[in-house]
Amino acid sequence: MSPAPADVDLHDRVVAGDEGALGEIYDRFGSFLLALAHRVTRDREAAHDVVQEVFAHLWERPLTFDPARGAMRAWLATIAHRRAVDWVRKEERHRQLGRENPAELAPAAVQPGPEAELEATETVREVRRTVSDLPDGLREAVELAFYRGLTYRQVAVELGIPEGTAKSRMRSALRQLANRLAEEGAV
Amino acid sequence: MSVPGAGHVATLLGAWALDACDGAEAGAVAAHLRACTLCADEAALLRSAAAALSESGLAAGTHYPDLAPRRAGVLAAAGTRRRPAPAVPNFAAPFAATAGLLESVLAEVDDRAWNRRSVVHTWTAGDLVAHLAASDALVAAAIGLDPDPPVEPGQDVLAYSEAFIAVARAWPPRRVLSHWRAGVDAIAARLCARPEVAEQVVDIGATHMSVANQLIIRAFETWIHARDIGEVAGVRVPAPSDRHLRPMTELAAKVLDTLPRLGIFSSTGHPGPVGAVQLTLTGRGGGSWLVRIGTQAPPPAVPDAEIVVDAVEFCLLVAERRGADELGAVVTGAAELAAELFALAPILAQP
Repeated sequence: MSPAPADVDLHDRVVAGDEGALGEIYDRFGSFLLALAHRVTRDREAAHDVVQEVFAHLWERPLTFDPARGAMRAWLATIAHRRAVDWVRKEERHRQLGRENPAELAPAAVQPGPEAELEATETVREVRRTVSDLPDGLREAVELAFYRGLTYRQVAVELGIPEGTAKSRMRSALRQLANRLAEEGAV
Repeated sequence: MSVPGAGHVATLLGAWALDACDGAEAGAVAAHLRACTLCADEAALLRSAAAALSESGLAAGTHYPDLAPRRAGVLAAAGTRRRPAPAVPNFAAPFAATAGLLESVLAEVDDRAWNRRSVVHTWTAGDLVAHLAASDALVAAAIGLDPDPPVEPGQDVLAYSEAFIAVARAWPPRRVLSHWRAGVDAIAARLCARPEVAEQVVDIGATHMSVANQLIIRAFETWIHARDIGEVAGVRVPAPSDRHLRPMTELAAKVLDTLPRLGIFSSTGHPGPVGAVQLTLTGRGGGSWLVRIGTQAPPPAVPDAEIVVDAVEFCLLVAERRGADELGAVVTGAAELAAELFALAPILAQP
């Protein structure tokens, strides 16, 4: 997969210490990353902290990203997800399915700017369809882990299945997802 | 190649890709992936599928909040972790950009990598940083600054560098880095205050050229050694972007063309091939120049040979990080003339 020229150019500029490039990447992906972080943490301030952390990491260690290995958007999402899950794990509060009154993100007073890439539209429909097409057991395991930040052990408890089954469902689900996306040319 | 316990780790790969392992397990998986390409390949595949999930989890019609109020705070917080490239006039943009590039590489260098031998002489990564600081100091002195250690008139460049490397070996890495950064900043500030210095011709070592061109050479050397340090630290270092690399390739072609004026007529010191080569560099930093070999006579209407080669690969030849046979160059016309150009190229990087 050859890297998107925009990714390469922005990455080169960040590597070269160009602050303007960091701002441009923020304008493109900040909203998307915030929405993802909020989806997992269910906490407005935590979501903002996660986004701040993602950009600090990108600026400080740009060579941990290699455009030849995948899209910058996906890489940033991976970091955001990991930080959001770390926050969830650190939380002392007892986890329930469906948190009471999570702090909502304030709705936009103005629309995000035109450069904001809210949805990777080529991918998003295929991904949604593929995920909803997964057998229930696989889909649930993946959703509990990815969107709720549960460990596989916690997922096993939640679904009333052995730990080994939780692990293998996650692996199968992702393999199926990867295969379907490759067929669609979406990964 | 299978590793004891590899089967156990493989079952964790899905959970790992979803960040659904605990810290200790995640660490064990990451360590295993460094050693096992089979698992690493699967992990990469599963990771990309997991990243795709980040798209689908956001329901249609999700409210995307306006982030403008938080923008300055996010960028400022990032700024506390790493400095931007220094502000410089346009002619010095490659120098500032490669200083930024080195800064990015250094973020991946821990104390162990700092003390590890590089491909250059017996120098460690830390020695290379000291060497760059010393070489920068010679330019600083040429533009009227007072670097430390002081630069004597007619200073031997190799001796100055080796003396400073010896001093810097006794310093903690942090101090060497501060020293390098301070040197870059001082040069940048001077250039901003006195941009007219760009056209001033100065002598540094055997070179006699404008400050603007001296800074292009500084940029080139900084990039090459950043690459060398990256190798020591196990990180891939991208080449400078086209707008920063182009001045370097342009200068290389021009200097090659004028070597006879400096008394260099062949790579061997004995009479060699004479003629004109059309040097076409492709990709970032690319361009096409007519380069005369062994003569200053006006070039013929049709070049005697043509070389087409990747610009970055050509730069690595100049830096002696590649041999002529490793370039993947396409040569047409007088082959021995093209070979002579390749043989002459590394002379550009001699002190």
